[in-house]
Amino acid sequence: MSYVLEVEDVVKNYPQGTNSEIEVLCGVSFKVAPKETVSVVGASGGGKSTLLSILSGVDRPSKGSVKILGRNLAELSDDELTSFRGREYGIVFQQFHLISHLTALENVMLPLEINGITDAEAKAKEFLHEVGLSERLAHMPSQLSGGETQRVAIARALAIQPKIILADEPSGNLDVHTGQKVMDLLFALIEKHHSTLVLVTHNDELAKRCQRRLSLENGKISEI
Amino acid sequence: MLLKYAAKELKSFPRYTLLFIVNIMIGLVGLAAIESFNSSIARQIRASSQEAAGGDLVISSRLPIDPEVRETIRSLLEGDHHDFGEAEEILTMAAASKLSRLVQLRAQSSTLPFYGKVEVEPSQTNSQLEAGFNCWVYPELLTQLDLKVGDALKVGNQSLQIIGVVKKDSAPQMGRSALAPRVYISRSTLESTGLVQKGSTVFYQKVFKLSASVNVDELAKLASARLKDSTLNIRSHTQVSEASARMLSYLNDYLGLISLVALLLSNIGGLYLFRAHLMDRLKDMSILKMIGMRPNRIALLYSFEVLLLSFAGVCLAIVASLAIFPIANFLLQDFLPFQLPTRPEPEALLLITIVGMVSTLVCLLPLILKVRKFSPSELFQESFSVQLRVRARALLQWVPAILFFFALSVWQANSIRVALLFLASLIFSAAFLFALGLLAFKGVESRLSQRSLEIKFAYRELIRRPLENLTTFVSLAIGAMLASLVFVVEGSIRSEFEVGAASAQPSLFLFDIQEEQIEPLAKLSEDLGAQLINSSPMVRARLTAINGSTEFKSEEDSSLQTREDEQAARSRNRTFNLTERKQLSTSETLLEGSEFSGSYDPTSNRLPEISLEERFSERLSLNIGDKLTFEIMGVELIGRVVSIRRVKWASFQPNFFVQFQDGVLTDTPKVFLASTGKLSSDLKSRYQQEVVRLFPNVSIIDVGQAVRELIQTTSKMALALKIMAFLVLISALLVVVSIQTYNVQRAKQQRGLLKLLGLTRSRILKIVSIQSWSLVTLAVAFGWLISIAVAWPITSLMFARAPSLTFESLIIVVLLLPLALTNGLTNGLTTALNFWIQPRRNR
Repeated sequence: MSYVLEVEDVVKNYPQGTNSEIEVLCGVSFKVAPKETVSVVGASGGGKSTLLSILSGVDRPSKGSVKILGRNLAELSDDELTSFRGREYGIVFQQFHLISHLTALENVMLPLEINGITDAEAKAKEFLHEVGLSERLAHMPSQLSGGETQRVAIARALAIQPKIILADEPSGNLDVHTGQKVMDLLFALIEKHHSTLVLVTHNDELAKRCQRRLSLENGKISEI
Repeated sequence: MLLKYAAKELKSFPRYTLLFIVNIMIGLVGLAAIESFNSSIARQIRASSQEAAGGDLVISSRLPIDPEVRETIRSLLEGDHHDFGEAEEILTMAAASKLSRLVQLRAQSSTLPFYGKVEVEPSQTNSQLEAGFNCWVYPELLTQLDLKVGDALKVGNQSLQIIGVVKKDSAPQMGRSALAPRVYISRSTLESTGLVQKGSTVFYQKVFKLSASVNVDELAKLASARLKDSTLNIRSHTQVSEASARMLSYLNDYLGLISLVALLLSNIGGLYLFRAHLMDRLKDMSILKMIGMRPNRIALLYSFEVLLLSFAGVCLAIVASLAIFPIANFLLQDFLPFQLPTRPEPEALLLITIVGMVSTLVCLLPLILKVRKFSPSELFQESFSVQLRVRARALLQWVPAILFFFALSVWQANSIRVALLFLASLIFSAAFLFALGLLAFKGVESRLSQRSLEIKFAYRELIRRPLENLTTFVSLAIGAMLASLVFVVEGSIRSEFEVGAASAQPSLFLFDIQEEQIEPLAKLSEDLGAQLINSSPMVRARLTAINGSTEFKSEEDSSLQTREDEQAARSRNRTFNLTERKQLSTSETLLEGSEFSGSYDPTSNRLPEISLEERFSERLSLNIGDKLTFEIMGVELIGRVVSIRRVKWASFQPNFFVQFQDGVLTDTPKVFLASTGKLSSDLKSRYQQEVVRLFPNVSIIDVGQAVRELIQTTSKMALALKIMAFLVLISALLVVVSIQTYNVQRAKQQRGLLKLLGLTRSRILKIVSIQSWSLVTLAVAFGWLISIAVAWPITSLMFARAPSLTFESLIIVVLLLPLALTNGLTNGLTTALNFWIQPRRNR
């Protein structure tokens, strides 16, 4: 069986002081199948952000390997990795991270334009319509509410129709009600577009909505 | 897509965009002005050289010029239209009732001059001159001969009536006669004087006015080759006015260098603004990278931004130039040594477009390259705190900027040596100021413990963020130093000449003294109570070989010569006035080698000894022991260099580039130069009259008058330099604002924290104000002190004395301190506004 994501014995050390190191991830291994939704739960400082950095190819493991769609990220150069990420990943952040001087539409168009997709505007509008923001195309991020901002971020993540979506506490900065609605939307769209989801959260209720749950504690991962 | 994104980003940050563009604009306006002056000067030199020559092509001779010459020129012009005029000049005695004086009599066709004019008071035309035996005279002749308009002046056989006084004459006088006052008469009057006859020394001129399409220099060369007559001196108008063109070119070179300081400072300001902007945009860059934009594309995106900004800066500089030039022309025209253009020259605009865009790009290159290297992993953190630092090991990335500025310096100075010196001085000054500032900060740090919280906090922040704060300090100090330097050097020149003229300098300078006149002239001087000093023999000589080599580079060898090449070529080609001396005079100092061994013994096998002036020897790369061959009136004279000496030219004593030991020129026909000691006004006047009466061939220069003219010219040049220096200062202030913007952006969070900790807004404002005032005041004070230190070697080299701290030289401090306070206030307000606005934004 081919996997969308294969993480094998990943170790990540950071230097601490001059002579010692701290191990943030200690031999993490797991696999994610196509269209599968997987959550990673754990307390703060458990290594969740480090794992996301490594999964997204932003950071490289000290040991072990990460394969996405069969490609070992360690074998890609920085440029290749960036392009690969641009084509195959959709990332949703807890802090939304929209470009503040671009409108909602322009923010969603951006990854499409980076990937050289010609009808970027039409596609971006389509996705904004899917997240219910057809009326907010020309709004700047500062003119949107928190929920709306995250919905734009979701539209941006889905616009290139990636094979895998990494979501880092997508509702962490929203109130319960808005968070609930945003997550409903995210799961619905993932199902609709047959995407794979890796969701990092410390919210058990949210984690339970995924097909599989993993726990990351003190740098070690285990199936729940 | 990148360009569109870049434009959108700039539009979204209007304050940054505007400040950056203004920064670039200020840096470029000076350069636009200098380049326009350059083109304008070239045009003016062409115009003034035409005025100086009275036409485009001048053929002169001491013998009557064959009418065939005109035919030859006509044939070379191949049918092109030309106008033609003739003139004769003769050196002769002019007599009033009791006195007589050597004058230069000039008779010219009524069509002359073709360019420029002779302004006469009361206002008259050539026809009035031709109406009878009339003449126009130079004003000094009236004084020397005790005459007034309406009086008679006897010239040759003719008594002329003085009908006007020449107030302005665009045509210079020729040869040695330049030092005798001129008298204008008509050509028919000249005939009636009976002066033009066989054996009389008459200068004949044929003057041509040509169409603008004619290459006059080429025509002069062709005419010389075709006519092959050694008695004819064929010169284009540019050759006639070579010396004045050279002076303006030098001034322009130095103005150009100062304008580069403004450009450099504006780029430093731009660097800080851009860095602050990038820091602000790091999150956006991280997002772009995260969603797939390659690092090189991100770098390209910010390169586009920089190009867009610099292009906008260039456009604004062009608009500003269009607006400023006519105003500057109107306000400053009478005070500057050259004609200001009323609008920027097209070539200057092209230049600033290229320089503005390239200089900005190369200066910001290290930061642009840096954006490729950061990791976007912070996006997964709860707060985003990536920093953008340019490490010392990335020094190589600054090489393009350094090379670009070096190339610009060479281009502006037209001299590799001056450019190197300029950049080295700038780097040394910056490094020295940096170290000085660091020491001052450290000194303050050790005395902080007992001070108030605001003072402690303000200075600790200054000390612990040395890069930004010391860059502010160095930029401002350099601006203050340059502005102050012009005042100090000008003040020293003025003081040297004025004080010198008022004390030890000679009152009169006498030349064209025949050998047999020396003794009677000395006796006359003694009888009148004046002292004839420093009488020096003088012969004309031409340097023909150096160490036996006659292969000299000619000035026309290349059109791409540096100033050093030009100077060396001039020195080699030039005909010199030589002298012989027993020992060095009081205005000379031996630098290298030994004094003359005594009088020359022609029976010995040793070569005559030569002493060279230091700069002359430098230009020709001459050293002790070199053999120089001169041609003096067709006779070859070889000498050996035994010493290099420094000459205090401002002493107004007879001095020479080349001096032989005593006895070398004994048998050579020569004239003498001499000067008098300090004379009272009455005695000076009486002395002049007696010398004119008894020695009519001797010419006299009034040193006081010459000094006044020199100071007037110096002041005009200094004003041009001052304007440029103030432009540098404005650039420096913009650097301060830029860095302050960067600091405010950087310290936003910290100041918010201070407020949370209970520090009131007014106390935070006090911290910022202490920092700004301290930096600016310290920078101005150090800049002024360093200007004195830099002026020291300059004034030592020029006058062998320390710089004068005249009131004018202190003016920069007087002007800048209030500016420092204003600036401190502005920065404080900027910070306060940012601080007050920020919490609302966060809400």
